[in-house]
Amino acid sequence: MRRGMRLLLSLWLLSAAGFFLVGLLPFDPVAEAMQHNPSMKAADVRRLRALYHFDDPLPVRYGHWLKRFATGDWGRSRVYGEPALSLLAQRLGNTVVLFAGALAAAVLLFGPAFVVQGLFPSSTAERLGLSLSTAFLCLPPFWLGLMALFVFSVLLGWFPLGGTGVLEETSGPARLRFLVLPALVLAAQHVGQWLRLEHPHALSAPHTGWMQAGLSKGFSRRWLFFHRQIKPAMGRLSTVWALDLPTFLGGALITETVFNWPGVARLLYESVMSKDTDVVMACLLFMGLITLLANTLADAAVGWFDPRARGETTS
Amino acid sequence: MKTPFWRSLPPQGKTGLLLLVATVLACAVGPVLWPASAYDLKDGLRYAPPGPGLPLGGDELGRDALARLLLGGRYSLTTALLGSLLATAAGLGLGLMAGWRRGWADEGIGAVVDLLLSLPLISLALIVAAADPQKMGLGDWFYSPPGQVLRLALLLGFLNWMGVQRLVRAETRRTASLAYCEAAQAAGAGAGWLLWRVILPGVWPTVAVAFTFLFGGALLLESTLSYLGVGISPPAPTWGNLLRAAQEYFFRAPHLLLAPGLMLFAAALGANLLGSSSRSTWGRA
Repeated sequence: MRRGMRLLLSLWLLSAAGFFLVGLLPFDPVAEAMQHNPSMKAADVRRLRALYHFDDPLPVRYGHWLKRFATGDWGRSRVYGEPALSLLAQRLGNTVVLFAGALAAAVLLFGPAFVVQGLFPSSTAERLGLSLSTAFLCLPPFWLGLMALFVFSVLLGWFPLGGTGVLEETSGPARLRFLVLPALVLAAQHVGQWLRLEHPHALSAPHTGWMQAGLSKGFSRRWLFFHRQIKPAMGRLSTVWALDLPTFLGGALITETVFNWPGVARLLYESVMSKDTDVVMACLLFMGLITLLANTLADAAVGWFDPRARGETTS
Repeated sequence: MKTPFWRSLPPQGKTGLLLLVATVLACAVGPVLWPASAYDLKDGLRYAPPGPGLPLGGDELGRDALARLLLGGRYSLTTALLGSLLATAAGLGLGLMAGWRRGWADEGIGAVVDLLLSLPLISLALIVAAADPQKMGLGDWFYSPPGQVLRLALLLGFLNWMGVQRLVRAETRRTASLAYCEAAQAAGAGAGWLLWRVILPGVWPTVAVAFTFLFGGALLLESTLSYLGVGISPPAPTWGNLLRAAQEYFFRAPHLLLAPGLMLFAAALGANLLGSSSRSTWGRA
């Protein structure tokens, strides 16, 4: 219950901050209308400004917007001429596909690396993985995408140069080729971070009391890893994963831009650049809602994986 | 006995420090040593591949790419440095306050930190960076390159102080509960003296390490915003907007794609290596 209230409060603050900031974008709709229609008279301008409440103080305008927003009227895109909400819905599918791809890539990259890290800490393979992780974390995310495009699409020609594929022309498996690079790029840096976070735990695990006790009882190192070491690690990582979701969305902003992937994050970027104010607000609130939901879920997940944390997070 | 900082660093940290010093020095001294202008257009140099007298080639308008790279580093590094300094200062101040005063100050700051960390800040940053300085009541100066640097640095500072605040708060509480702090208090030390002479020395290593990491992160964030076209705008070069331009000439001049990215990578890697190894020599953080 309190979590729900907090979520609503955060969302409201985000909408207020967003509304205020969107008002600061270098754009004046009436001035633009005047440019398109030079025969507009001063009286028309005044009428338009009054119609859209442009001269009211900001809190009043926010009130008007909030009322519209609450009744489900999220405004229209002035670029596409469509309702912002339906525009959002169109792009959502692509972002979901990208996230599913990134998730698959993350599992494929992280799973084996994590097992190697846990079973053979400070082996050559593990150190190589750690160095690569550090390197990936220090690469500018958009540059990683650009270089991936240059090497794998331009030089080697393995993958297409961005986009999601033409709907009619390419079938399912062929369209998958469009997903590979963006999904890998979106996942790579996060996987690196997870590995780095787990590294000290993997190093110290062989020296812990429970590990020594387990080994002396005759359990194998591998059995102990899979049955005793993984679950607490997942508990530690689940907070990271939840806090990663906003960064994943931020990463999507970059990945979708570099790879020309028409998803929600790219829609936000495009609408900020074209001052499409209603769409900016719709995207911002949608991404905010996802982020806040993820945080709430993370609180719950930590308690599930690690009973010790249960008392602390039920506030 | 104190071991000198350099000697106490593991090899990784030494590599990091050298990388960082090398990139900073190149950008500080480079534009003086390399006489080509970063702004002069020469028609023959458009899309020119690297060659003798033109180590990195020419860009889409026929400017010397090396000169632009070095000058761009000045903008990028200054913005990141200023931004991470602001974030660290704010985090340090608010962290000390929350950890020392506790009570409502602690709870209030904590609530703000929680809230900010739960919002999609990159998206908000994009909108803030794209905002019109004039509508914020700021003068024309904020459109000039130094003004844009300051604007971006303020934004980076605002986006990054929360982590430092949490670390400093925890460290302040830990130090304040130690026996020598209680002893100083019992001996009649005032709050100011305690904060300055007892708490701050305990918090300092944490802050230094956090700052090092922040610098690397701020550098990447600045370049990302400039790449997206809402950071420092051309013709002033930054590593981010150089890459934005390079992307448009992907096929005609792929050589423009490499150097700015490598410089960003070197500086960020340097900061990261230095940060993680000084974390282990300085203990907790």
